[in-house]
Amino acid sequence: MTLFVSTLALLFLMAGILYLLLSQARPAFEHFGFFRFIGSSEWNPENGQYGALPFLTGTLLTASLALIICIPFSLSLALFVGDLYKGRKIAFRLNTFIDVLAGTPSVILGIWGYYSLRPFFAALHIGHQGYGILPATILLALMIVPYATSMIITFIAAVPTQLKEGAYCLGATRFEVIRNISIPFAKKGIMSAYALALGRVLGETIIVTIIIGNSNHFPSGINDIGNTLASVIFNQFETADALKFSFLFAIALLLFLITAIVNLFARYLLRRVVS
Amino acid sequence: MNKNHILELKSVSISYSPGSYALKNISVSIKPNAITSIIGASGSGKSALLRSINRMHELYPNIRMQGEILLGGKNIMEMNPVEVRRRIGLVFQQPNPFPTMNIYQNVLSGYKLNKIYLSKSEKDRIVEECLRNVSLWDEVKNGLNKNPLSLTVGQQQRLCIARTLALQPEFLLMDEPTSTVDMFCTNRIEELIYRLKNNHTILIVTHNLAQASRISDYALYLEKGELIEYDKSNIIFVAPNDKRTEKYITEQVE
Amino acid sequence: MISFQKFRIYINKCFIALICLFSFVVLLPFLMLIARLVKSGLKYICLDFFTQTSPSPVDAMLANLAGEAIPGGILNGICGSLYMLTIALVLTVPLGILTGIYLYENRGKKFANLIQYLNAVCYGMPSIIIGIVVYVSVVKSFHSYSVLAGGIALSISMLPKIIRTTRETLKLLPAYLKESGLALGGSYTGVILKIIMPAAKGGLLTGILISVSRALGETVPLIVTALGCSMINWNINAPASSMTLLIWDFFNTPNMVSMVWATSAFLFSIIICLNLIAKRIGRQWKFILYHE
Repeated sequence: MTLFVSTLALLFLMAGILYLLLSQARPAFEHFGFFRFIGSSEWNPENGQYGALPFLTGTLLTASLALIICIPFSLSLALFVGDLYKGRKIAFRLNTFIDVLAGTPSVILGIWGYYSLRPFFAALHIGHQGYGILPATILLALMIVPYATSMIITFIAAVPTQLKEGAYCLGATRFEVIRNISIPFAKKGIMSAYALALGRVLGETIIVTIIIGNSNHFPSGINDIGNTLASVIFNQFETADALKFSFLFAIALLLFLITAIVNLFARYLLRRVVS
Repeated sequence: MNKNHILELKSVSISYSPGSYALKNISVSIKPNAITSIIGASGSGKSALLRSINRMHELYPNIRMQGEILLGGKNIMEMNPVEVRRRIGLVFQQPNPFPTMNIYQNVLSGYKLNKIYLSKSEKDRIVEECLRNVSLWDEVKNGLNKNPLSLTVGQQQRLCIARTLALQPEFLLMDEPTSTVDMFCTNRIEELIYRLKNNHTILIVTHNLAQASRISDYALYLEKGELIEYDKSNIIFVAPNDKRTEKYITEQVE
Repeated sequence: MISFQKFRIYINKCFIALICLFSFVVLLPFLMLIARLVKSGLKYICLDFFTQTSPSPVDAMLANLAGEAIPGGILNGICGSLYMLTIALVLTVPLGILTGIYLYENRGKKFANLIQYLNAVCYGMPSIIIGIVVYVSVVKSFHSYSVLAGGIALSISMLPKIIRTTRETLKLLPAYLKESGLALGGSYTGVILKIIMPAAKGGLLTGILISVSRALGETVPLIVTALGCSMINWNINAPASSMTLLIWDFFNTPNMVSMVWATSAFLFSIIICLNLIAKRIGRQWKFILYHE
């Protein structure tokens, strides 16, 4: 049937992508070895030595810190719209505003970050003249706040009113109802929203490239410049010789696996919510 | 001691939107340590009356209230809303046990939400006492850590009553508590209400006039938001003073 | 020593104040972003902006020295975006909707579950990976950066979203629609085409518009597939530009700051409009559905 055939498109697409990544990355693994690839920080194009550790560290650092920064703000905003002012006009307008913000192209956020925030960072000695891992983390956190918030609002607004009223009738304050009733009820949905946001921030390229400083050495701290997996592929792609090209694909494969696992985990959590 | 337990309404009006009133100018003094049933047609304001007493209307900004409600002489609006809601318990029509807690925790949820800390032995004692009170103890004592949604509707409703009673409120408001449960369960709940009246003042909204005349000492008839009559049950149900009350009662019987 | 009960009220007030504070603080940067776009970008948008192709670096430098506005516009970007978007739509809309219907009709079955998991992975795939994969397969094969490659990259980015939205839309439809259609003796294809699809069209349109807005904002995969071009190009096998590519080019060229802001402001406005229209259509559709 036509329906079944159309699904094969996606199947072959994903299979093709995986095959391409693996086959292009193979020379690098043969040359370098898988564990040395992940564990080494050497970057000597002349010698053909490429280690992915600085980039892996950069990705994990920026992504996890961005998520940690994002959580209190997105949760507050979601509670504001989905609980405190639920059903009122201001909540409705804010919800639309947040959804629109979630659709901002990351390049525009990156450009603004460069022109408006970088001088600000430089003045506060965040990073080196405003470039660095910490500035990138802050921009990434900003990027995922609307994305995560719009998803979480749905879950918080879905807590049944009668459940909350039952708690109020027992003499609970608003804070206690949110903490003991609403959040536990919406917990799985909230976690899956943050997992999806993490997946998105792991793969973000352009914002990182603009402000992280693009250094191929292992960063000495969050105030140092560095690089991430996604960004290094983008930087080095044009000027890559055969071995570096293969190495970049190896990095891509690593990034693909990490994002795939995070997104599958989010999907798994969402399944539990629905059932 | 009795004075503290007097619930008085003075010229209370509730409107959901400008111009339309759910309750109009209600003034009444509810007799303490007795069961008062609130009867009336759908939309006559029975639930609105109940919810105004424990300040549930504050949660919805478009609802306006005028007039005063006095608890033992003090205006409830000047009291801490949290304290008001702890002293006045409300049981809803549909059972709403908290699905993220098990049965044991649900009974104690009032204490948990009010951040009152109890020792383990006190907790066990309260849970057993409340569940025995609602005739649920024998049915659930071996499965206190189960999810309350695994109970039948009747058992869930008794659990919700147990949860409300655990806080030992002086007033108990019940909004058609037996309309969603079967006859057997209804009997048990009615027995419970009868036992409770010695230590509590109970207001029960009901559509079932037979139930109202069975268990209540006083009755309050509302029509279109207005208080028509408040008197002893054996007067209201047998020979009411107001013609409108009489009309409602005879229509229901037919 | 304040009583414990008063302490709870105090904590409650603090919490609510904190929520309001955090909400305000987090919205502030976005308001600043919009303000900056309006301030620095809108003034450079004029008729030329839409009718001329992008300026060369030399022209820009001369204009800056003379203190004049930079000549030129983003017509090549607009055309390129539209061209690649059309290719992507042609590829993804039929495939996506059909796959979504399949997933909905066969939910629970093992193969459908597999496809859903693959869809989740595709949805979250970083755009740089999409870019390099299309580079290796299309650009290398045809020996040139091309509109085709860019279009294919965009379609990989759009497909999972359309599949997901189709499935969600179908889930919202009441069950009796299909049942009554079949009960009247309609064939399966007929019921899908004539009853389900028209009923779902609002939701599907919303999904397509949101995917389009996502595709318009893609930068990275286009840089490695379509490369960019300063002229308008209608040849499917030659490189072309897009609005996002132009933003990136202007950013990397000295003296073109005003063009960066102008293009960003324009692109942002389009995306806002698309999102608002999509939401409006979605709301109206849901309203019709549940109030019939």
